[in-house]
Amino acid sequence: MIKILAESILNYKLWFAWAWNDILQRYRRSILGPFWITISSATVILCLGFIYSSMLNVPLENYIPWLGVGLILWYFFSSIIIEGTNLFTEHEGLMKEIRINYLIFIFRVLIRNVIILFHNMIIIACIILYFDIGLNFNILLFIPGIILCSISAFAVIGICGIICARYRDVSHIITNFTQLLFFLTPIIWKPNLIEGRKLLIVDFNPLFYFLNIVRNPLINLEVGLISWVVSLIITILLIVIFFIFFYLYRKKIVFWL
Amino acid sequence: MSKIVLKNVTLDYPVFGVDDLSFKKSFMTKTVGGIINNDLKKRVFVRAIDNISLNINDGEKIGIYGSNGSGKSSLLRLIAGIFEPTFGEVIVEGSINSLLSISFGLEDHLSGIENIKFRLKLKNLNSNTQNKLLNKIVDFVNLGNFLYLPVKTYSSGMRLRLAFALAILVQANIILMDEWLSVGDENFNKLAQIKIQKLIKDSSIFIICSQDKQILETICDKIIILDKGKILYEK
Repeated sequence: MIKILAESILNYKLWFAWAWNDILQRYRRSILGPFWITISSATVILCLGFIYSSMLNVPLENYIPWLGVGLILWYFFSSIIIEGTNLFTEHEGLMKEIRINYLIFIFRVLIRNVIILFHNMIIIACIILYFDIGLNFNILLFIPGIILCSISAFAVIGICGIICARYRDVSHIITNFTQLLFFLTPIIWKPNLIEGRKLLIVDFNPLFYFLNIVRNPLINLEVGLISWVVSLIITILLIVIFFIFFYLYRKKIVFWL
Repeated sequence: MSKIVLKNVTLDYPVFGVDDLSFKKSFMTKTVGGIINNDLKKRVFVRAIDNISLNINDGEKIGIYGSNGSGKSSLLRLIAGIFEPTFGEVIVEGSINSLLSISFGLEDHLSGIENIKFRLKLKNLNSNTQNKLLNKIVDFVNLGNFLYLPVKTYSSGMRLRLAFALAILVQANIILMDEWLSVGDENFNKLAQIKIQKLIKDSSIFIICSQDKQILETICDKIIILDKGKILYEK
């Protein structure tokens, strides 16, 4: 298993070029190219920001940074989950024609989403500057946060890919559940708006902790040790589950397509 | 030194969306190759390769002959490492180039040149070798500006040229071919035939599947006849 992982990592030139090309393909023949991602994200953040800040009665300067960073991270999380469900069906042609390391496909999906996330980082930079969010060294904590999110994302893509290659209904279930998850995760609302037993939807939502470790350093909020610990434990669990799945089923995946 | 060893290899394809074997399916098994069966959990599978043992040594040119569904393509895919055996062991020593179908896993939305570049990156060659091979392939396919258009705009002949060039122009010890000797238009076909002959001569091990016994007898020095996933005859 380590050999397979090492081989796929050494093939970084391929999956990076593949990922970059995927984004170029998506925006082929458009003038702004991948920056359409940035523009559309910024538009959504502005529109939702104005509407929800007045609906929830939260000052705009508090709400937009919370929503903006949260929404950009949500795009990353949801794309990872949804594109993970198509991981092997997307590569069916190649898998049936040549011997290929399947982990390369996971890196391809992960890296193209990381590239999109970094395009959207421009919006986060604008938010930080415009709303004059106090800058200090704590902001750099978002880097280990993103690394931890990416390691989890690698496992999530792989797990979704394997399950959905075998059980085609699951991809529809996951897609629908992901839409619901958006409303269950504190992105457009803040956890302090709910109380009592309803807080369980925050406490038992793994995405909340991953959001915290990236969002909070960027908008000058305290992360809290619990978020780091929970994110780390979930990441380790996901990686273990993925490699167990991969070890058990990698030989069978090609027959499921 | 290249070598291929198959030890008691069996390959079962699971079949999904079929609950149980009907009379019709039982009847079908009598008319085509392969054996459709149920396992202990009542899951349906096709036994494509049934307990095959085989030794192929350096320098051998092997032809595999058999009817539809006899297991020829499955055997090649096992050797190529695309499929892993359900039971038994496949040992392959040497690099492999396989020409298994005309699609050759080309990505339709990518241009011809992008497909070539990604396929060369997959081989993990240094950039100098990649550039040399890229130029060689571009010259060989002779598709002009079409190389910069998405593969989905290609005619089947143009796709074939690209797939063929990608498969053969990267050096390998073991060559696997699946019923694929006629490529593109007349001019390109002549060129392809020359390349194939050279390929056969240069490869350490050459294996081709075909339903044309005459072709196999001309090219190969050993013929294996497959029937329902078993070796019926070797000569």
